[in-house]
Amino acid sequence: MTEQAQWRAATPQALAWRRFDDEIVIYNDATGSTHQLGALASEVMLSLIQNPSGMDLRALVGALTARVEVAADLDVAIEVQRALDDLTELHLAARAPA
Amino acid sequence: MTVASRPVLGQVACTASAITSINMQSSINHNCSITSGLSPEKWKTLAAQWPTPYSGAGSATGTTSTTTTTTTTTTTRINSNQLLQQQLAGGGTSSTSSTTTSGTSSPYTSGGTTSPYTSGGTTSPYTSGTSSPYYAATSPYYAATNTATMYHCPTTGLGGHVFSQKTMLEVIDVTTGGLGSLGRYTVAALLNARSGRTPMLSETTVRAMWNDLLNRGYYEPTAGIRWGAAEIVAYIKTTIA
Amino acid sequence: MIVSELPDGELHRLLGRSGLRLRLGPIVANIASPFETVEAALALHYASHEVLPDSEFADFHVAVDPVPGLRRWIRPQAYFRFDANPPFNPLAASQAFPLLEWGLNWCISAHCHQYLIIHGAVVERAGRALVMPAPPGSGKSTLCAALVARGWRLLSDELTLIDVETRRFVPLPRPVSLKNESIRIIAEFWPEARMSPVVHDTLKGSVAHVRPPSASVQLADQTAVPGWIVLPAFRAGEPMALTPLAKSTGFMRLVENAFNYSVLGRRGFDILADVVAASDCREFRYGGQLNDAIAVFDDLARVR
Repeated sequence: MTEQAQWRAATPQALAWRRFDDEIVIYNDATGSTHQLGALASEVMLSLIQNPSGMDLRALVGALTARVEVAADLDVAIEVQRALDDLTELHLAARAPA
Repeated sequence: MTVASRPVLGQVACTASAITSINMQSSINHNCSITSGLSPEKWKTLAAQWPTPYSGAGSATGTTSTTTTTTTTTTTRINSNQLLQQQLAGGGTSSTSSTTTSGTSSPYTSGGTTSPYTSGGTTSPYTSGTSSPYYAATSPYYAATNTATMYHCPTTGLGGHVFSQKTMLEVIDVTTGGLGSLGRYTVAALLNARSGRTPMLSETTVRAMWNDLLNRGYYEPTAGIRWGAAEIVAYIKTTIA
Repeated sequence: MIVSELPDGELHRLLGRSGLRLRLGPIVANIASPFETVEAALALHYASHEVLPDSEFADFHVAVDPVPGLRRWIRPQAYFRFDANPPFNPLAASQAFPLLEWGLNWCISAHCHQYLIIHGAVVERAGRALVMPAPPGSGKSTLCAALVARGWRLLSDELTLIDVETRRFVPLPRPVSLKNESIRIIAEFWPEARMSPVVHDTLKGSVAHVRPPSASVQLADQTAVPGWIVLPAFRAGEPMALTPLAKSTGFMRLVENAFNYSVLGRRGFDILADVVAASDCREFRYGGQLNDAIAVFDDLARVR
C-alpha cells in the first residue's frame, strides 16, 4: 500500500528554498518554520515540488537515483520513506488523497 | 548538478536524510492546508453566483460594466443581504438567483406607505428607480449578473489571445489541448481565490501562473523550480476539494 | 560635536534635564539619568560619539532612574524606562550603566526591523564583515575585543545589523561588554583598552565595558559586505582549530541567533540566504591563546 501512495509538496506556493552544496534550507510560510534538509531529504523535497500531481515511492526512488549517486549499501526506498515521513510531520509534504 | 563533485549519498547514512528544524509556530496556518476549492464543473453550475467582479451569467460584452436600466423595472429583485452572504460564503446555492418577482416581498419596500423604510410610493431610498443602491443599474450586485466576463480582459488580468472571444464560462467547457485544460482550471482557481476558498492561492498568483507560462514558457512556484501547463493544472487540482 | 567636546558641566546638565541625544550608528537615542556612574560611563565610552541637538529626531527616549521610595535609600535600585515606561524589573543601582546598555540593546532588537538583527559580534577588515553569531558563553565577546585590539574595525559586539534592502552590515559601535574571566583576559591582552570599573553580582556575573576605538566610531557610516561567518566555541585547554562549516549549518545558526527573523518572515529567509551565499563559513574552537587566534583570523582575511 505504501508503495502506491502518492506524495506531494504540502504547500509549494508557500515555500522558499536555497541550495548550499548537497543540502537545502527551506522556509515554509504556512508554518513560519525553517528547515535544514540533508542531501537525500533535499532531493525528495525538490522532486515533490517539481511534480505537483504527486509521486509514489517508486517514482521518488527513480528520480533520486537518476540524479545522484547512491552508496551501494544504502536501502534507498527505506531512506526515502523515512524522509517522506519526516517531511510530512514537518508539514512540508503530504500524502495525496486516494 | 555534477555527480562527480558531490559526495555519494549514503556514505554517512545517518545524515543522508537528516533534517534540522527551527519551528517558529507550534501550529500550522490551517487556512493554508484546507482544500476547499470548487471544480470548474461546479463553478459552471453556479454561473449566476460567481463572486464579483467575475460573472458567468448573461451575455458576453467584454466588460463587467453595467448596461441597461431594465433591471430596475422588471423581474430581478434580490435580498441584498442574502446575496452578500452568498458571495462571502463562496457561491452557495441561492433561492434569489435574480428571477423572483414581487412588488411587495422586499424587506425594503412595501409597495405603499407602511414600510418603515419608505414614506411614500416612490420616495424610498431603497426602491426609487435608479437611486436605490440595490436596484440601480450601477449596483455592484447587479452589474456582474448581467455581463459575462471574458477570459482575456482587465478584470481577469489573464493576458494573451488563446481564448479570444470566449467568456470565462465558455472556457470551462474547453478541454482540448494543454492550454485548454489550463484555461478551465485557471477559471476555477480565480473564482476559488476570489471567494476566499483557497487562501494560499491568491488571484495574483493565479494570474502570474497564466501570464508567466504564456510569456516565459514556464512558471516558477519557487525559485529554481519550473512548472509547465501540466504541473500548474496538477497543482490547482490539489486546491480543489 | 562629540561627547568629549561638551563644555564642562554640560553632560551633567543634559542628562538631568532634556537628555543627552546621541548618535549610535544609524540610531539616535535620547538618554537621561541622574546616576553619576552613568554619566561617568557615558563620558568614557561614548566620548567619540556625536551629540545631537534636541531638534534632531530621536528613535528612542530612554532613562535610567532611581527607584522611588525606600529603594532610593535602602539597597538602592535603578530602573530602565523606555518612553516613560519600565519594561524590565529594577536592578541594583550599582548596575545602572550595564542596565542602560542592556536596555538600549532591547530597544534596538525589539523595534528596528529595517534591519535583520543577529545576536552576535561583527567586525570588519578590508570592507568585509566577519560575523560571530553565538549564544552567551561562546567566547565571542572575548574574541571580538581581541580582534578589535589588533586592528579589526568594531561594527558591534552584541547586535549585528543587516540592512534588509542592501544586505550590508551596518555599524553600531558601542562599548564592548565583557564578563567574568574575559575581563581579566582582555585587560592583559589589551592594556591600552579604556575599561570601566567592574560591576559585580549582575545576572551575568561580573561585567565591565571597553570603550570602542575612536576610529570605529568615526567610520560608523561605512557599511560592510558579507565576508565570513564564524561560529566560535571556547574550549579551555583544547587545541585551536578553524574548520569549514557547511553553509546550510551556518544559515541555521544565523536563524537561531536572529532576534527578528520571524518578524521578517520570508524576507528574513531571503536576506540570510543571500548573506550566507556570499560568506565563507567556519567553525572556530579555541582554548584561550588569543594571539594565535588573531593570527588565524588575519590569515583568513588575507586569503579572501
